[in-house]
This record gives sequence, C-alpha cells and structure tokens, in this order.
Amino acid sequence: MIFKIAFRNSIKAWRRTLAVVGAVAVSVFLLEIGAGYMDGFRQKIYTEAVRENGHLRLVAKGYADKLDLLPLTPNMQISDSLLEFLGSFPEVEAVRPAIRFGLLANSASDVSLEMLGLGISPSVSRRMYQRLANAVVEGDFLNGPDQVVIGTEAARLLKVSVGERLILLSSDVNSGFSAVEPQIAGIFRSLNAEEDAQFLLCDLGTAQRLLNLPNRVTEITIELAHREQTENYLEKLRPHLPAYIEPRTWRQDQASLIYLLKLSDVAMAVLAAIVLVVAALGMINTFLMSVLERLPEFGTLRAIGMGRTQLVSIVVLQGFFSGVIGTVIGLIAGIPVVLYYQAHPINYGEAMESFKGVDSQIGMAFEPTTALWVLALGLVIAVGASLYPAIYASRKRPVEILRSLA
Amino acid sequence: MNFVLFRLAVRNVLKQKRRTFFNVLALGINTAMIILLLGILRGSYWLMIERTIDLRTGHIQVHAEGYEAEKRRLPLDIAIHDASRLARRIEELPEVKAASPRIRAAATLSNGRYRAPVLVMAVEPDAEAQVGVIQNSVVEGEWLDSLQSGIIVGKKAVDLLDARLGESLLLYGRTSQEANNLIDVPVRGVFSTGFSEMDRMVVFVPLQFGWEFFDMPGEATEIVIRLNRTLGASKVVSRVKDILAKSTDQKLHVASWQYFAKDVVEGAKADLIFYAILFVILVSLAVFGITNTMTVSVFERVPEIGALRALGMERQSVHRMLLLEGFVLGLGGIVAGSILGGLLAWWMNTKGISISTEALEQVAIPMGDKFLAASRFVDWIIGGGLAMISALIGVLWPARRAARVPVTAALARGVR
Repeated sequence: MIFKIAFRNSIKAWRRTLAVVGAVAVSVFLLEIGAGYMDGFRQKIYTEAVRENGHLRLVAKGYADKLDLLPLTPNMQISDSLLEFLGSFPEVEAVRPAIRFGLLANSASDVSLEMLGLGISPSVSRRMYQRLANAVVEGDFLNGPDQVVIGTEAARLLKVSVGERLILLSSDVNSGFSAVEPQIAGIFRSLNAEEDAQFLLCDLGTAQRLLNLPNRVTEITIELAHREQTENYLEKLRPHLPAYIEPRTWRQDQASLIYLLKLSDVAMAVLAAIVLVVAALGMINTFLMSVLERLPEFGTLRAIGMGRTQLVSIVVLQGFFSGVIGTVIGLIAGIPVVLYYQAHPINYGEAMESFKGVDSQIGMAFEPTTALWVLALGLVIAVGASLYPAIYASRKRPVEILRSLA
Repeated sequence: MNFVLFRLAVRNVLKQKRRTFFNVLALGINTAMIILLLGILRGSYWLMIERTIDLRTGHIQVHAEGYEAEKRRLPLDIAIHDASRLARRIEELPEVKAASPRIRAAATLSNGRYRAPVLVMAVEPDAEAQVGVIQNSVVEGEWLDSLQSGIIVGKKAVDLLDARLGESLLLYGRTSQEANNLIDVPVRGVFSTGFSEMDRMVVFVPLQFGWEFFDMPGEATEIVIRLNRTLGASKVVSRVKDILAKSTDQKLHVASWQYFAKDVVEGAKADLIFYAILFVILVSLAVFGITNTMTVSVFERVPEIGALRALGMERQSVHRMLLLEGFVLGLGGIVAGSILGGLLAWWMNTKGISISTEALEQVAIPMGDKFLAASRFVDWIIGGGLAMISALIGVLWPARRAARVPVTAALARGVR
C-alpha cells in the first residue's frame, strides 16, 4: 500500500521527480567517470609497475639500501635448482633472475650515452615487459643471447639501427673497465621519455660477461598470479631462504607510488564528497517543497490512522524511486565513457614526464565492484536527501495541520 | 520602487527559512571550495614553478644551436664559446640579476667502495650564488671558491657513498674529445635541497676545474640567467637574443623557463582543466538547486503574485523582484562562503598538508614537502562572483515564468 502511494506520488509530482532524477544521474555519471579514472591509474600501477618490478624481489642483504647506486655487490649466486624451487609453488607465474647496472653505450659513430641496463633472460623478458615488447617499432624484442633492445630516442642519439652492434662500457664487479659488443635486436618506442632515451635491456649472459658476474645476479624477481598472494607465498618461502637473501614485497618496493595513489584517492574522495553534498542540498530542497506542498494530504492521512513510520516510508520510498532511476541513467551514460577510455587511453605527454615508474598513457578501467559502489552511493544520496523532509513531515501534529487549513 | 522591491525580495527570502538555509548552504559551500581550491592551485604551482626555476632551469637559458636535440646525452661537443664574456654582456641588461655559465656533464663519483653516477655542474661560484639557491642549501662545509678545487655533493649522495666532508673522492668522466679522465677531489661542502633527485645526482665544481677536467677551455654547455622578476621572462628572451647577436658570431638558442620545464607547465595546464570542469559542475549543481526551489516557490506563490499584479505591479517588476530574491540568496551564499572559505584558506595558507618525502622521490619535479595555499583577495571575488552568477541564473527561468502568470487565473487559484 505504502509502496503504491509513494509510486503514485512520484508520478503525480513528475517535474520534481525529474529534477531529483537529473541531480542523481549527473552525480552518478561524474562519480563513475572519476572512479573509472582512479581505477585506471590504480590498474596501471598494480599491473604494469608491479608486474615489471615483481610481486616479490629477492636481493642480497644490504643491496636495497644502495639501490640508487645500482651496485654490483652484494650479489647472489643462482643455480637451476634454486630457480626451480622458487617456481615450484602453484601461485608463481615467472621467476626472473636479473642484473641492474649503469653503463656507457658507444656507437660506431663514436657517440656515447649514459644508460641504465637490465640484464634478463630472453625467455621471460617479453612477459615482464609486455608494454615495451608491444611497442617495438623496428626489429624484434629480446629473443636470444648477445642482444640488446633500446628506445627510439636512444637509437636516434646514438645514431644506430637494428642489426648494428653497440659497445657497452662499464666497471665490472672488480672495478676494472670492461666492454661487450652485443647486437641491437630491436628498438621500442616508450611513452616514458626517460625510459625511451636511457633504458637498455640485454640478455642476462651479456650482462654477466660485461660485469664479470658468472652465475650471479643482483636480484631475482618473482611474478605471482595475483598480488594478494604475495604475503602467503613469502610465508611459505621464508623458512627456505638463506640468511643472506632479503625478500622485498611489491608493497615495500612501490611504497611511494602506492602513497601517491592513496593521496589521489583521498583528493578524489574529497572532491566527490563536495559534489555530492552540493547535489544533496538541492535534492533536500526539492523534497522539502514536495512535502510542504502535501502537508494537508499528510495531515489527513495521519488523522485517519497512518503512523509516523509509514509517513516517513512514503517520502523515503519516493527518494528511493528517484535514486534508482537517476543511478541507472547515470551509469548508462557513464559506463560507455569509461569503456571508451579503457580502450583508448589518454596520452598525457609531457605532463607525466616527471613521474617515475609509469609512462604517460593512462586509461580508465571499468570495474563492476566500483560500479556497484557508485550505484549504492547514488541510492544513499537520494534516500538520504529525502530523510530530513520525511522526518520534518512526520513530526507535524495532524491537529495543527488540519487547523491551519480551516 | 526599487527599494520596495528589494524589501519585498528580502522578506520573501527570509519567510522561507528552511529553503533559504539549504540554498545559501549550497552556494556557501561552492564559494568556499572555489576560494580554497584557487588558493591551493596558486600555492602549489607557484611554489613548484619557483623551485623549478631555482633548482632546475633559471629564468632563461642559452645553449649552442643543436644542443637541445642532443641534450639527453649531455653533449660536451656542442658548447658555447667564450661563455664567461657572453654572460657578463647579458648581465648588462637591466632586467637581468645574474648570468651563470655552466658545464653540465655526466660523470661517476667513487670512494673506492661504491660508485655513484652523477651530473656534474661546473659553475662560476659567484655568478651561480646569484642565479641558483644551492649556496643557501649548503648544510655542511662551505660553498665553492674559484681559487680552490673541491666538490659540493648532495646529502643523499654523501649518505649513499658513506662519504665525509673533507674526504677525497674519485671523479671519473669523459672529456669533450671522448677521452677518459680521472681525478681526486676533496668534498668541500654538502648541500640539501629537499629535492631528492638533485640531492642524489648533482655535484658542483668550479668552472675553472670543469674547463680543465672536460677539456673545454673558456666554454660552457649553457648560460643560465636569473631575472629580477619571474613575470615577463619571455619578453626578456628577445633582448638577450639581441645582445648575443651583437656579441658573437656563434648561433645560439635562447628560451625561457617555460620551454625547459614543459613537464611543470603541461602538468599545471592539465590540472587547470580538471579544476575548471569541477567549478562548472559545482556551479551547475548550485544553479540546479536554486532553479528547482525557486520554480516551486513561484508555483506556490502564484495567487500572491496574481494579487500583486492585480494591485498594479507590472510584469517587469515581478520579474525584477524574483531576480532580487536570487540576488539576496547569492549575497547570503557569498557571506557564508567567504567565512567558511576564509577559515579553510587560513588553515591551508598557514598549516598546509604535509606530503611524505617518500612520495616526493617518485616525482622528478622540485616540490616542497607541504601543500600550502597562497590565497589572494581576487579568489574571494571569483568565488563570490560565481556564487552570484549561479544564484541569478538559477532564478532567471522561474522569474520569467512568474512574470507571465495571468492575473485572473492566479487570483482564481487563490480562492479556497
């Protein structure tokens, strides 16, 4: 009965219902887009940055403190049995022994360029750097021994192309000068300008020869099926790890990016709250008008025996109807926008150049859980905005209302 | 008549206390947010720009033609000849505070145990002291002296290398002719700017030392110019070009800080668009709320409006009275918003929000460790102006509708 009255009232006062529906729809539309943007950024960090750096990183004790120097010591010995053991757990997707090092690249044109090198097994390189493998514009990605891949800017500066040899100069683990001359297998175009100019990927054997680190690496990164399995995996692994190895989780390695993400989340939440409060104030007024206009009606209903709770329910149900319709409209309008920008990420170009760890292309991401949250929020706003006018109406005594009509 | 209308409008607005409260609250929150956000925008970006100019770019930079395209490899073979003389010529311009020739080169610093890749800045100590802020950031030891060799190292690099003041470090680099060079240099000072990348990567040596070490006598890879004021840097660029054209035959490239700090400028532009959209949304929602309540209010007051019209009030006056109601609502919003925004702005101007230094390491832009606002009176004018515009737009349609109410129908509705 109450449901029916509320529904009829919503239809009768269609202009007001429409206004509330409009406000809810606009708020939900904006919330969905804002949330889609944040989900996209979060996904970017969690999938790309975390996958590339590994969910778990094993380094020799003391290495992490000097990581900024890209030291060659302390390092770790690797063996097939160790790698097999690390990969023997069901949650492990890939085990990637690697060496990070600084180097001077020299081309046949006698141009030199300071670069950051990563030596890695070609078999896992494509999986690890899917982003760069897909961005190869010339040649192929790392696929064998004695190979390097570099960015387009590095290739331009060094005046080299695919197939040519590049001299890599560095100090080896004994501080002696050392050089190797691998072949350029491919050239990628990274959307991170610094990476495009300074990142060099080579096969692990080449790095070990250059740095005089046979069978040794500076880190082993482990990629899991899902990031939430990290702690569980570490629990199982820890008893078997030698004392000189320090495990570092992605939460420790990506702490600053995660902090930035949290900061953006808070900023977005504050802005969303402001938008919602302003929208809710408009809605409260609309409901209040509606209630004031129908006070005689409510007075009569109360006089013939309707309870306060029932009266509140009628007004709140009206809010609920408007909320449902507005939320659905807002989501119908917002989700395609999110899906479009998920498929067509925005390139922020130079605006993102100073952010390390992510490139400049950031898309939105559609996550059903987020859409459900937005839906719930839309309903809460509409219902919440109707609550005050409903309580106001229910507190009026029927005698007072009917007397004022006389 | 206008005063009577204004009194009527004020009375109508005050009569509907609840309605007015919610409208004024919505307008007030909007005004406060706009005041606060404008202050934060100015504060954070102005600070970022100032620090970028101080630590990275200066106001204007001069390079040899072709350097920009190759800058990522820090080329020493594309240099400005007779750089010190040109810097002194530039300093003759009244807008210029100082001009400092620099050699910017890649090198490696080592204490035998660890090696750190560094960016060497060979500078004229006196000119650099006026162009940058490094000399004020020296926390241990002292700033460079042209007559003494030595190196100024960032705090983070010192910590990473476990080095100490006075200790000799090995500096390895390559000359402009691509020959290797290695030399012992004592740590003369340690600086700390709070800009993590700089404190880890950059070292300073005297220009004289740079000329010998990199085999570039009299040359520099850049001349960095500090102006007396930041505004108008682009205009001084042409004057610098003129004076350089008269002083040398070499082709040089001159540009202002906006060119070299594109990441900061583009980032600021992207954020400005975001904030502009947010302001439009806030204004639209306020307009929606006011239009909605005023429409209902007009509908409710049809008999009253009919009576006023029957007593001789013209359509135009009814229209004006409703607009004045919007004006009164706008005024209320401005007062509420100015007080709320003032309190928030005061807090953000004085206390601010601290940012974790960990997060700053991820951003290669010199930012402060706090988000501080820099509010100006104009923020109140913009915030208040937008509140008034929202209120007036909000009553526009209901006012037009009220003015069109037919007198007889309106009076008939009033009969019970």
